[in-house]
Amino acid sequence: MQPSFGSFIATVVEAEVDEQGEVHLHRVTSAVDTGIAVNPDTIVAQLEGGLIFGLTAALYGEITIDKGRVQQSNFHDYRMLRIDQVPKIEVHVIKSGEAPGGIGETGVTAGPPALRNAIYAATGVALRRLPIDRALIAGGKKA
Amino acid sequence: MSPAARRILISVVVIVVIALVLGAWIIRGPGPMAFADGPKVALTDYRGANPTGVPVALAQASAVERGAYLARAADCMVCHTAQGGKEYAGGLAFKLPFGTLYSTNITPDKETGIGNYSDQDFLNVIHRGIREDGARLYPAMPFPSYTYMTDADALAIKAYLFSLPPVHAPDPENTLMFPFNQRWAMSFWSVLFNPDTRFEPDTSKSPEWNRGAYLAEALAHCGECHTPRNLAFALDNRKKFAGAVTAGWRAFNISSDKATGAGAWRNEDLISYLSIGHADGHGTAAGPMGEAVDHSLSQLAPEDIRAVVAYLRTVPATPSTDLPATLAPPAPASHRDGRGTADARGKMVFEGACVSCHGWSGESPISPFATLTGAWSVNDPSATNVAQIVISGTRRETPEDAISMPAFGNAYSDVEIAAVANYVTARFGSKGSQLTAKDVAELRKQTSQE
Repeated sequence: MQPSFGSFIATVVEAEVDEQGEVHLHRVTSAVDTGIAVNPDTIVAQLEGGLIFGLTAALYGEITIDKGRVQQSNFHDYRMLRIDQVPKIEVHVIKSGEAPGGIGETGVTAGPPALRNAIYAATGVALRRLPIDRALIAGGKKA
Repeated sequence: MSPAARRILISVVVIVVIALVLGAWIIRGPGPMAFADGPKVALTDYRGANPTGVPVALAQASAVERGAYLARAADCMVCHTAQGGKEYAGGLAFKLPFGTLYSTNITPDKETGIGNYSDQDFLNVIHRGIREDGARLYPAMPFPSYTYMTDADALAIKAYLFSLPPVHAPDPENTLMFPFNQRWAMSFWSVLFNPDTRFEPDTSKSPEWNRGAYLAEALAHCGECHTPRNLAFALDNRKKFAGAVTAGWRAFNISSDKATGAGAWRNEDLISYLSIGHADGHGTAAGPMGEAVDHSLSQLAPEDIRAVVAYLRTVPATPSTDLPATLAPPAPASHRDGRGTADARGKMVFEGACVSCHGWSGESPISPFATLTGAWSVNDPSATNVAQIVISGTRRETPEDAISMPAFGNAYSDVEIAAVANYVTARFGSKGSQLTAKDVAELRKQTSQE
């Protein structure tokens, strides 16, 4: 449960960590209270996109700098989550009469901590840096 | 010691010495041009066109210009330049199972390069692998090939190198482990494996063949990657040009074997591959061969390329037993048809990162340079080069419209790279590979410059 851009969101990620430390996403469930829902369908779409973007950042969003220059240049070395890696996403919009909160980046902020907690539940490894370091969770490692 | 004991001791010593000499003789094997069994004459006694030196068009050029051509033909620059470093200033790492070797600065800097080398010092390096200070070079420097170079050609290369701006760049320290760090031991290696002899034309062959032999052996040193090595790390010319893995990449069989070598290639295919690093139906050069084409072979005169092809044609056939006898045809146009792998990740990575350039059939919709069909790399069940090019990509500079492949190694894990390599060889080759994440990690190590 987190406050985010004037809205409140709770997110659960169901994920699997394999022997090599690769993370497979199975399902993401979010419940959001964003105040009065003017266009509920857009809220669902915004959250789905935001969650995918946030999960991408958690899995692949590493920027490294060598001699003052960013090493990543394009999608071959800075990945996006592909459509076939995207999990089932369920969004529940809570009926509310409060003033509307933000929804544009609410999902982005919700994805990474929820995934981090799912990895902690699966492996016992409490990651404290993002993006996820696969070496720390490979081979059934425990904290 | 009684006379009888002494006799026994002497005979044991004699037997051991004979066994050692015989063993050395057997492991040494034939020279690189021994397969051509016609009469050999000294260059000065040869009546055909001079097989050494530069093409006719450059014959009257200055020593520096001739040296520039010969230095490109000998491909000095690629090894003597570090990634992102100054040309010829050395520092490229060679990863060996027993440590790392670094190439040296061959700019004319007096402190850190070869600025103090006399002509004789330079010839000692090129022909004998002996440095100006008397130390022995390791055969990562291909002096057993360069030894066939004429004095005049070697000194033209020296004149060219001395015309370059000196670069102050100390050579990194090698990290070889004992006993490989004992340079003096290389003097024994050289006695056995460096013939220390200049090129001798074969009078039973055409002048074109002799020119090709000189280019391929004394300058381009093709065998240093394409000929397998023996236990002593010297070239095993019994399997001349039969292919080998060098510096993490597989140099394929270029003997005249029809199924697994270059025997079935048409002349124009070989000429195209050597000139632009690509021949339709045979794939595209990448990795070390891509560099050899960009910096060396593509700059050679057309008659020199034809001479190399004429020479290649005569190298005896040695089959590669691990390669399939036939290359796979194009894969089906739809991703639903055709072969794949049980591991779904291979297809996932391919459709996410590869298919837009390479296509589902392997025949690229973008550029013939990106066509996979017909290339040995995708038909190689070891998938060595497929994995390497996914890891490090390839940057080709010739011809002008050549397209390059980005490196995916930093964004994809060893598991994913192994999976996509296995998928690619299964779909586009005739026998799929069984690469594991561990194999990929090992391949990364062999080409890493860190």
